[in-house]
Amino acid sequence: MADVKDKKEEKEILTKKDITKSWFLWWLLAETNHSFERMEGVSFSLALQPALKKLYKKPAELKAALKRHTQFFNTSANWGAVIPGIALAMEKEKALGNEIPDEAIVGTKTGLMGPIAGIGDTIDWGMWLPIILSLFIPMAKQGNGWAGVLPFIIFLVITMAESYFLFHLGYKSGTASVNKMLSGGAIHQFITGASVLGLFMMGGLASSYVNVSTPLKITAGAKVLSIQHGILDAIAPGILPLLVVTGVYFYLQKVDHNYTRAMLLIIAIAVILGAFGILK
Amino acid sequence: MGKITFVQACLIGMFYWLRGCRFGYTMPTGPVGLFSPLPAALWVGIVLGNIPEAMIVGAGLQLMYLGLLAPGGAMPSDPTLAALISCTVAIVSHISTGAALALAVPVGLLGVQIPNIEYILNGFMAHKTDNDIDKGKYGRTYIDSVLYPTLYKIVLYAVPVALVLYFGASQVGPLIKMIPSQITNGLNVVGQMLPAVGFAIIVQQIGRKSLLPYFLAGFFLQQYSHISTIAIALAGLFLAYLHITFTSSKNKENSSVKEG
Amino acid sequence: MANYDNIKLIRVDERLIHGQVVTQWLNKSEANKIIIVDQFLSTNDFLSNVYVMAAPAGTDVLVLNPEDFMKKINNNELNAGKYLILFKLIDNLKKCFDLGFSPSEIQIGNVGSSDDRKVVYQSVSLSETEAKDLLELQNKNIKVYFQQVPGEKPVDLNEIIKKHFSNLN
Repeated sequence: MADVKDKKEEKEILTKKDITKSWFLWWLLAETNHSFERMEGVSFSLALQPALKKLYKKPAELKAALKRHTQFFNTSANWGAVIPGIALAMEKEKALGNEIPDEAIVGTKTGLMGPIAGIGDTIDWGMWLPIILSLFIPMAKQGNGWAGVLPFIIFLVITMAESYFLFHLGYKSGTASVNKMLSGGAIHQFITGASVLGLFMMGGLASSYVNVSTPLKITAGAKVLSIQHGILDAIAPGILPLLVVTGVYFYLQKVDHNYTRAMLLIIAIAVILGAFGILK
Repeated sequence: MGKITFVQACLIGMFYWLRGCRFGYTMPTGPVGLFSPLPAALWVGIVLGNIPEAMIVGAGLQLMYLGLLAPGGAMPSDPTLAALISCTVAIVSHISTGAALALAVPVGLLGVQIPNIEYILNGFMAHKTDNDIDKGKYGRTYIDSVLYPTLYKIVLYAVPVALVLYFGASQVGPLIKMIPSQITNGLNVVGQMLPAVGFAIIVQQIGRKSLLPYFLAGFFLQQYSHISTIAIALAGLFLAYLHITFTSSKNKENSSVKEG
Repeated sequence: MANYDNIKLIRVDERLIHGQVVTQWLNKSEANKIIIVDQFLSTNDFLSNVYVMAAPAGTDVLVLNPEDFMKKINNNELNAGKYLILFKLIDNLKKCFDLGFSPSEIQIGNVGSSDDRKVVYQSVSLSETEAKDLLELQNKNIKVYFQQVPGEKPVDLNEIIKKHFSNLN
């Protein structure tokens, strides 16, 4: 049973600065030496190393701890920052003499990789990025160099904040932090709302940036009818761009998921239709 | 016809090396982070002294690669390399935006091969790092797993790009001049249509078929009103809020059924 | 005779429910329910709950051990939906096979490396024992193929065996 003196010792073993140091190493190095065999594994160990050195004074224990964390690991490292935090919390418990088998730490760590990655990838790359980018693409189209920097600084700040917060949460609350993140379905609601916003903005952006029209005309005697202005635009503006986007979408859904082939197909179609003056 | 100096080619190559280093998780591979098409275009524009033209090509590329996630880790295309090469060739050889975007596709494909070599080398360093731990040389783990990879990435990433651009960037121009004008018209259409691929991809990534009407809503709103992106963002926020409010009564938590 | 009609996809993926990957396979296979078959997880409340919560909204998740899973199969209890069956590793799959599991095909998507495994496909590492187990499944007319995401070309088990485990051929 921990008495007041023990609690004080517990608090001092790893200070907030130690945790932040490990967080920073994780943020900095997570993907640097990616290999097929280990992916983010080695960096996981490198990030925890300073803290583990404080926890395990016996060389055999330290080596064992360092090596169990160089093994295969892969997740979305921003939201995934909660996992090294949790691992560190479990290592701390183990170092203090509580019975925590190695397999529990490794099992928890690898068990969480998948689900957290799902959430992280969706929110960071599938939500923040398109939304922030669509705000700055107009600038870029006008040749403004700031569009090359601003959106990414914003993205960097948001994701570093996510990462910092979650790493500390993982350490403070251990495995309970995952429950805090996932329970109640709040996160799924957030993702739904973000998806609505994302799709809406992508629609608006697509409207501005896919500019295909047809220069074809129908001549009947003295009358000349422009197919674009007379027919297509009269039905609804932007039909041709919309057709292109939906065409590619259905191609990817039904025919083939290969993005490169889709791009090559579009190039071929565009060149042919453009060369024959059907589209401009 | 424009020229590219050796120093310029090296500077652009160094950008690719930095991206290969992957320091800081938010700046890694793919269409995200500090090595996306837009910042890459900016760098090329600064190095070659023509920011506006670079940014225009960069915008098209960023849109093309908009949704390019790497689910499960396998990137189908390398937007950074595509941007560096396409923007450089666009400025040095004066090719059109459409041609530059078309060029990006094969270049992006090639770029995927280089990391594969890097990953194999990293695999060797991982074993060396384990050995360091066994021998108690903890500090050395950082040298083996961080410093050495950073150094050999210069050879893998910066050198090829610098060489290709120095010897090749200005050669593309005369080739393009030989293309008949109809094909050139075709390439202009390419410039307009390729971003559509990016949109289709991101719509697919976001995934939920029931939410697709919102894409159409945003599309037609912009078509009819031509309002600014900020206005669309605000309208979108409002719609998102309404959507969650109206569907929250239908939403239940996933049923957790655990047996055995 | 057990009915496998409602099982739309059987996949071995060490990361089980990994966001985009699982979403893509759910879309492609048109499954709307997930069953995770894993001895260890079926006894671990915390992790089981994580998978339930992390699955795409509206997708039910069942976590079963091999025996209970085979009971459901053999009693034809899988008829209220279209199922994606997920195994973490080959061991639990082999266990089900030994208990009579005989679907028409199995997809190997993702297995991490370890000391006794070698990388045989971009996202899959196998040990010799696991390769032998897969061959046993194939000999009983179960097609085994390797595929990470829908956009990639599937690779047949025979190709993998020829290249990496030629001694087993």
